[in-house]
Amino acid sequence: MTETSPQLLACDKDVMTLRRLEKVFFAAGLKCQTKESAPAAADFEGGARLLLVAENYLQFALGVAPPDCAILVLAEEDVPGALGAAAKDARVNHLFGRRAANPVRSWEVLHVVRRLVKHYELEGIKPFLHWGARMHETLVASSEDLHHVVEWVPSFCEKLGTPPKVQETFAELAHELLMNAVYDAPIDAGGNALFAHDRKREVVLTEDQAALFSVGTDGETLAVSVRDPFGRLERRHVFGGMHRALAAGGQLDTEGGGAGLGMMYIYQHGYGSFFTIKPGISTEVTVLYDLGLNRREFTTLPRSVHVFHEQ
Amino acid sequence: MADESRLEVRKTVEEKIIALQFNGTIDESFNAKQIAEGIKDVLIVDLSGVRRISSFGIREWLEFLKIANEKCSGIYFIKCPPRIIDQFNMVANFGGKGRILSFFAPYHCDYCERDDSILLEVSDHFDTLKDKKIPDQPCEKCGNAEYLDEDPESFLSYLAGQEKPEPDPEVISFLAHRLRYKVSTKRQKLKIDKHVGDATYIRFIGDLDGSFPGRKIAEGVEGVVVMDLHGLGEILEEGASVWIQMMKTMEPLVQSVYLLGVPHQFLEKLLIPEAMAGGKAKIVDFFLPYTCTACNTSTDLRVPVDEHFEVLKFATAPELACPDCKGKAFAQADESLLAKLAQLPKPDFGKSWVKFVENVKDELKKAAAASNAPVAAADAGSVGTGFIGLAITVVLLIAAMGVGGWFLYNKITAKEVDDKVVVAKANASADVRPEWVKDEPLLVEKDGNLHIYMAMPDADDEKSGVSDAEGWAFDRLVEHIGDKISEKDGVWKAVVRGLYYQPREDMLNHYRTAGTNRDRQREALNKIRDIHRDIATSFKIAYGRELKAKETYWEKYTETQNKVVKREFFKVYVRLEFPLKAVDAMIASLSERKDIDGMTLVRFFPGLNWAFRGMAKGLVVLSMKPESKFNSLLKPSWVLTHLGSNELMVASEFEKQFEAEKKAGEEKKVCSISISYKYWKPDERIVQALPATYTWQCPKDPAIIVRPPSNNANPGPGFQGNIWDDPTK
Repeated sequence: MTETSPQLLACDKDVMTLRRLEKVFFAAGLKCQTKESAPAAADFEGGARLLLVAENYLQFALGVAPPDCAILVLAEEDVPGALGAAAKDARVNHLFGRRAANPVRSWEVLHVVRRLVKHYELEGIKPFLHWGARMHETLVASSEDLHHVVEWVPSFCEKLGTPPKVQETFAELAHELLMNAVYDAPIDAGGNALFAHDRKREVVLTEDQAALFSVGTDGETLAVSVRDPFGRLERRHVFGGMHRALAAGGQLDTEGGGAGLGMMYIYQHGYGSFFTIKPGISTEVTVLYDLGLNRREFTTLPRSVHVFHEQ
Repeated sequence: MADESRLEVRKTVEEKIIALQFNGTIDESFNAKQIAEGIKDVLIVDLSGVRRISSFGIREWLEFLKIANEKCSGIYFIKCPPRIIDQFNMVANFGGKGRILSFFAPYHCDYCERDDSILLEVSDHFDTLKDKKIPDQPCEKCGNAEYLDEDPESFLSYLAGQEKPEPDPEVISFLAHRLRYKVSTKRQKLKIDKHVGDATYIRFIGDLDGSFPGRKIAEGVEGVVVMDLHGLGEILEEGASVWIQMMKTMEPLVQSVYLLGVPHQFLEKLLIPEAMAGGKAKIVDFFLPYTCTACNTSTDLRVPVDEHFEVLKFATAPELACPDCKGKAFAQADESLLAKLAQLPKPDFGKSWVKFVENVKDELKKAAAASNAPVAAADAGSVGTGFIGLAITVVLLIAAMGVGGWFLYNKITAKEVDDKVVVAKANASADVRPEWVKDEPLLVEKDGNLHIYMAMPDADDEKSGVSDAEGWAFDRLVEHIGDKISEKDGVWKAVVRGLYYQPREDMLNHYRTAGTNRDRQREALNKIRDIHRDIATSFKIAYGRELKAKETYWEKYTETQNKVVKREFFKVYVRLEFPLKAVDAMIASLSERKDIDGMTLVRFFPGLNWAFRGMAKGLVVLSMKPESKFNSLLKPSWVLTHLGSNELMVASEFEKQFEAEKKAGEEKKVCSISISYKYWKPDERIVQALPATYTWQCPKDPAIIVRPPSNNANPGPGFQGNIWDDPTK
């Protein structure tokens, strides 16, 4: 990529969305080209290696984008379709959920493209909350710690004035993320899972195996994040699991033992989930919840999913 | 693991039915095999206590359901919280072959910004659920409509596809007696199964109301009759009358009548000589409410008369073992009922009859399963053609199966016997229903006015309906004003609202929880009516002139069955309209404070009638400073009614009245003022009225100093009176 060539191509039939995106890209210091139609092979001759497309152009994009081009999807109505594409194609790692006629969230686009282009190493929930947000972090090194944290989450949420159903939702989510970090992630030196086979046993981790749990809010967004020091999650788990959960009319087929349930939980419990995977080093999952939405709005809100695969 | 998250499972078992009540979190600690142990033919799962469910919990749950699917012929889920409904929607086979009987729907009121959770019975809303809709509900706090706080398309998707749950009579009976759970909040149509063999077995399921075909049942019976009342629900006055008639008709025809599984509501209403077929009817066993002293649970337990005859005859209920924890359980029955139970004859219901009943029940179950489709077809046919005369035998199954064709099975339903109940509008107060009529209570601000709409859907007559509707409308208005004041004035909310909030909740709960007990309902409703009358009176005294418009409209309906009018009732609608300015003035006036020497007073609030019955005037002590001269006499939250002999009503006049009383007292040399007040005693839930006496030191009479007489007859110009009031000194 050269300084003069466009780094990013954005395709959406909605001109207002494109104008908005242009401003965001300008703010990000990225040179951008916009198009009110589907992308064509010629569009990449200028060197664009980031493609942001509306979901209805996704199939075109998959056909014409170069193999090293990251495809970012603006998902509106067919999130399962976009998840399915992501499960099959490694170029698709970012879904921006947006409600029809609603603008895409500028901060989210900025966050993603800056990270992709400038390779920032962002950790924890701080990058997702406004300045001055209240945050808590704690190491979780045992089953006992895990349950303490899960039981504490509702009371923390309560202090923020969130309704009981949100409190329990976040406790459920914390439980899900921590179970993955404490039971599924740890492996021995030979790469064998230590505790994944028995989730009922009491587990004690060493300090360097412990998971870091973060929760915080700026009054608008409630964020929860769990980082494990193993980095075993793979993108196929994320998109495959979510796609499996959401395909077939939204009812997860449990014949195969319920694979995908965990990802469905993560997907359903927040409006956006961010996975930062550093293979062999760490996995961090951050989920965001919009405190301003009522349940009806929240349920129908298309979700965002982002997987950052960093070396 | 923290204790709070641990899953507790409570089992309630009776013969072939087991109910599991889950409390806590369904997670990795959920042991499917262990919990599924002991599952019987029918499984009922109460999920109301589930706080959370994890993805691993779902996996274990699916294992549990797999076992239950294999073991059970029926699985029912009751009181499913929203997060469980989410799982039904998202996870295939989450419910196995089970049916959801009821669920909590999350509601939200935009006016109060309040979340609500309302238990809805699937059978009550089955038709609308099919369209993925459930009705808005009136907000408990403000009365405005609150709506489902979920996307109905997704939240109701599983329920919309579910077949109508129709539990067996044994299940309905188990739910009612053991779990105190009613499958529908609506009246249950009476269904009667009749079987003729060595004896006549008649089983009643549903509510005993005016449509009960008692005469037709009584005709044609002979010999020994066994009546199974396990499934009997509410007993209405009309139903009770027909029952008595039925037993009278039976008396000369039968040898004896055995009553099985008699519910306590039957004992309360129909354990009277005229309902016992001239002494030929004998109760074999009955149900009484029991409370376990060990696990503190309440449940209806079966009391076999034969086994406990020696205890019962002393007007004492036997001590039973709690079926759940085996602790001691004691009956919760009043003495008058126990006295009646003491008169019960010892039933001679031998083993052969027990066996007979067991066989009949088995055969009925088989027949019901085998003839499900034909019965449905027959039902449909009977409605269209209309049977004449006795019209009892709708389904006649000569049982080729079972014990060599030895029985004749009749299935009767009230619908089949008496045709359909037809509800028709007979009359109305206007030719055309006015546009303002609303079926749900509503409070709306528009066009500079406050409109209160109220509906009474089942009034005995138009006059009482209007009166009731007006009462509820005034109550709504008063609560609205109370909300407005509370928003601004925390002290007022704590003191004034605090005084009547609990009595009001208690009374409304008393009414709501009266359930099927019509007497309790009526008793509670009458009390509420009286309070509403008080509220309307105190409101009208202060603000009656502000009522801008009042409209009423009623419709008269008749319930006809077999061309016979069974019942008449009225739907009554009322609309009250107040200018918003006037409402604002009421709010200002009712919340206006007056400080008198460190004591703050506000006007008597009409809502206080929930605690202070029959009052319309008075002043409430809102706060009191320690240095106040009234501090030793009066306390915050007391309602001052009189100052001396003067009624208190307006706070700003208290001081004037007090000074006037004081002055009058001093003139009479009586330096004390009586302040009458009332206060609420929350523990005893009564109002106490007492006087307090404010006393002060009377000013001493001035000493009269008499100037010695002067020798000078004419003292000249200057003051001529006593020295003490000489203005020149």
